[in-house]
Amino acid sequence: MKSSEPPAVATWLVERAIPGRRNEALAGDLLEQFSQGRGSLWYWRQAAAAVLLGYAREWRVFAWAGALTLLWAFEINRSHYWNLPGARDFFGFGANGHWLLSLLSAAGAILLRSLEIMPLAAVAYSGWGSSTQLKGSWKERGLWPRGWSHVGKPLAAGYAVATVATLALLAGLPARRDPILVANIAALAPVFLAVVVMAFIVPMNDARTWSLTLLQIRPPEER
Amino acid sequence: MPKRDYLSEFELMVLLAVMRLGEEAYGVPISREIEQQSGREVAVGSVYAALERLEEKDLVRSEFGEPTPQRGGRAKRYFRVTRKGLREARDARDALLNLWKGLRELEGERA
Repeated sequence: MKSSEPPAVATWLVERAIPGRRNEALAGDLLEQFSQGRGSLWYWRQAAAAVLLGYAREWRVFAWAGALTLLWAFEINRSHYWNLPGARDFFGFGANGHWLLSLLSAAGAILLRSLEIMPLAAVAYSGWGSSTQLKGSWKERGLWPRGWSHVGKPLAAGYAVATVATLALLAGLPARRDPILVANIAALAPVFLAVVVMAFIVPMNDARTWSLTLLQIRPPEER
Repeated sequence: MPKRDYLSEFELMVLLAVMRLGEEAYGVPISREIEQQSGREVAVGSVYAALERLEEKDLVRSEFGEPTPQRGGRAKRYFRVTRKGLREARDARDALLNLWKGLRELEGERA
């Protein structure tokens, strides 16, 4: 028997997880065909194909952002927790510090280090994004912000996963086993998870509109 | 000689479907038209991916219609072929016809 309601998770994925401008129209097309008799399995297959195709189409942007994210997250955590004992003592308040202070200082240190690298990443990404996107004037087509809105979610997810994985790796090494690290991982993992969930709650197209509005560039379709 | 992007087989099929449908060219009928004419099932997502590539090449343009209750309040995105798209389709047809001419292997195949 065919369900009268389309799979909500599949609709959510189509609307929230696909880069580009196709989300609303594509979700509407799938719902229209579902209401005309297509089944849940067909709906799921179409949604999965749409998500995969959406990312495959932008693979150059995502591959670059993914590599950058992994390096970035690893280097930030490695330099903070591994190679710089002085910094670690300063930010981590040592093993005897209060767990909350230790956690806040660790999170602050990671954020500061992220900000150090942010301008370099922005320049590198915008250069790459402009060269791999549409032809024509970047300002006319809003390529730069289009690139950022595309890459925001994978970047947030990748950064969170890489950070937690790096901390876990460092904490797990026998020679480096450290109760502060373990406590930080336990406390930071849900924070990073919340960041990822929040990032995905904002639809891709809204993120693009926000970035365009911030830069005072009107999208081409509104002219 | 300037570098030219050739249309893929699927892009050409999508472009022709948009032309055939005229004012009613949005995702659902475009997918159906291709399925009916080619006998192959297509993913709606792949149709949109092709349409976006065509739009980037200025061969089609799109605009959103009014949201409808049947689609859960989501708008249709209508596509129309541009002049450049018409020219490109004509060029593709001419090139393919020229290539097909005189091929003995393909003659008399159709019943």
